[in-house]
Amino acid sequence: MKQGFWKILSIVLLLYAIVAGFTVEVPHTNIGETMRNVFFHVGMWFAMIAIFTRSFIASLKSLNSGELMRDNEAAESAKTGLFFGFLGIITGMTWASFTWGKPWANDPHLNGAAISIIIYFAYFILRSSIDDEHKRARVSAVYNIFAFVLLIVLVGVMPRLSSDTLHPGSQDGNPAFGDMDATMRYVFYPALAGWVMLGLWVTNLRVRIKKIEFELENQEIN
Amino acid sequence: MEEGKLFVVIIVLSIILTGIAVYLFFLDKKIRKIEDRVDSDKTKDKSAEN
Repeated sequence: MKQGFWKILSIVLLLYAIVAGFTVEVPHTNIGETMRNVFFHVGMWFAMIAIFTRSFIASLKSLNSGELMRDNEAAESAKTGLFFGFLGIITGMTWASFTWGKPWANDPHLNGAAISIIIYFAYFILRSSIDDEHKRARVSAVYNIFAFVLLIVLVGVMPRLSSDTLHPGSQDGNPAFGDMDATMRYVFYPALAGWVMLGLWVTNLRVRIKKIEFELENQEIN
Repeated sequence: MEEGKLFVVIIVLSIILTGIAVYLFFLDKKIRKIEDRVDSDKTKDKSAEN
């Protein structure tokens, strides 16, 4: 039960995000009630980055120790991260259709996110092209470390350097937080924490299933 | 709020989230059971080798 505490916490935080997210007063701007999307859409990206961070750490450990399970952990995490990345793009496009008039405005955030997703796609193509599992573990770990650095640059750095972005807060720091209303932050931060924990929970389940498969295969070989 | 009946949407979304949470908890439990089985198989193999 003690280990499961953060799982329950993530659900409690998300329930709070749904209830408070619909009832909190949002500032009256030209995007109206769609402002509330920020509690849900941005959470997808934070969850994705948290999951890719786990993938990155697993790749570092994989290179360090040469354990094949670490490589599996990195791959399974990257798959879950991609899933949340897709949710982020789809929810963002839906939101943009109604506020910016088209699903894909040429915004550096969008293009950066799209390139990152493609880079992670290439990770799986690279993996599937190498048959030797030790070689695959090494090569894909190096690629994954490279991919994570690019992700941080494309999603975290480049959009902030750009002056023509539709996303808020690019001139004054963090694009996700921007100049958000103080009362919205009481909902926003717990919502982000909830999404991150939910994402890590799903990742955790995937990695554990892979570990079972991995150990069963090893037992069959022995 | 009351006349717009927004609270119904909040209730529906909360039910969906709770449902997903219960589902994830069941999955978690199921995986743990299989993990225990794999682990006990491993110790059995080791004791057989000795």
